[in-house]
Amino acid sequence: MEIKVHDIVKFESIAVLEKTTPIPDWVFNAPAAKNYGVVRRMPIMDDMVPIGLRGNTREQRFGTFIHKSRIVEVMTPIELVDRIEGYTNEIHLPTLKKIKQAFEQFNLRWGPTGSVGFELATGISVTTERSDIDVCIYMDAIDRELLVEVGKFLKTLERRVDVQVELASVGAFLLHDFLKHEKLGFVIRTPFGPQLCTTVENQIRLLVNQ
Amino acid sequence: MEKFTYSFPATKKITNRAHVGVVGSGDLEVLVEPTDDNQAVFEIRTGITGFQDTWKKVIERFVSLNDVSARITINDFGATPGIVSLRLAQAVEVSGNGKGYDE
Repeated sequence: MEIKVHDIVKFESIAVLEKTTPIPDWVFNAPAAKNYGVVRRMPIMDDMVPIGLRGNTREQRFGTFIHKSRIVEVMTPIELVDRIEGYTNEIHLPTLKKIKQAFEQFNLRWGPTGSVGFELATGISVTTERSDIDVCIYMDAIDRELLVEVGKFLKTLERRVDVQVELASVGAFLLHDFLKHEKLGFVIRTPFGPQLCTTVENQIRLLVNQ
Repeated sequence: MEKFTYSFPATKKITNRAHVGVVGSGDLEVLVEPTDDNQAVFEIRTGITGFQDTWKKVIERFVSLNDVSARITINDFGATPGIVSLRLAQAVEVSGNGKGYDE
């Protein structure tokens, strides 16, 4: 199975992670870091999967690597949509349900990411009432009309929802950035770093800073 | 929330204001306002604490490449240094003082 950015991977223990960089002390005391990592946006080479571990605060994030053979389970954001009905977090559930209903009508391929996605995947409590809801939409090509409709829908929600659009084989941009700055220049995050770009006939055109 | 300010001497005046970036996970807003006092003043507000050293390096690199007398306000939402540099370059470009983009 292909492992992609945002996927949540399960592992036996911190001991199986690659020993490339020193592990910060907080990792050993963070329930969220014990068995799970989130795949980072980087090329996967020689089966080395770049993952990030979560701690108890926003500052606690540790980027590391795990060999594919050490991964015992992979959960994709798309798979997590089915878990929304059983989500016990009363703060985020109402908004998630609205998103699910609307995105099904839009016929989108999507899934929750960020802290909410992590909670759905692992059952470990990491959100607070101030947490944004992060979701990812998967598209093969830019469908501007659809994205404009999604943007309008998001404005009807009471909570802040950050939508990232993952374009197959290119990278991801923030929906809000695209809708506001399509012509001025929005940022596309690629496995090789962020790039400023605009669109020409719904195709990404990179802008290169001299 | 953490807030810090950096100032550097500057010589080139800019003409336009610029506002780039967005409020959103992993991004930031950059506001550039022209000033006459031959200084580049950066005011950074971020919800992610403990990365002041990284900010200093990113800003110093920007100043080494761009000489602008301006007040630059940054509202950060957990952007990586790569995104920060990109947005700063974009802000200078939009203010009409960048080196220009090439296709």
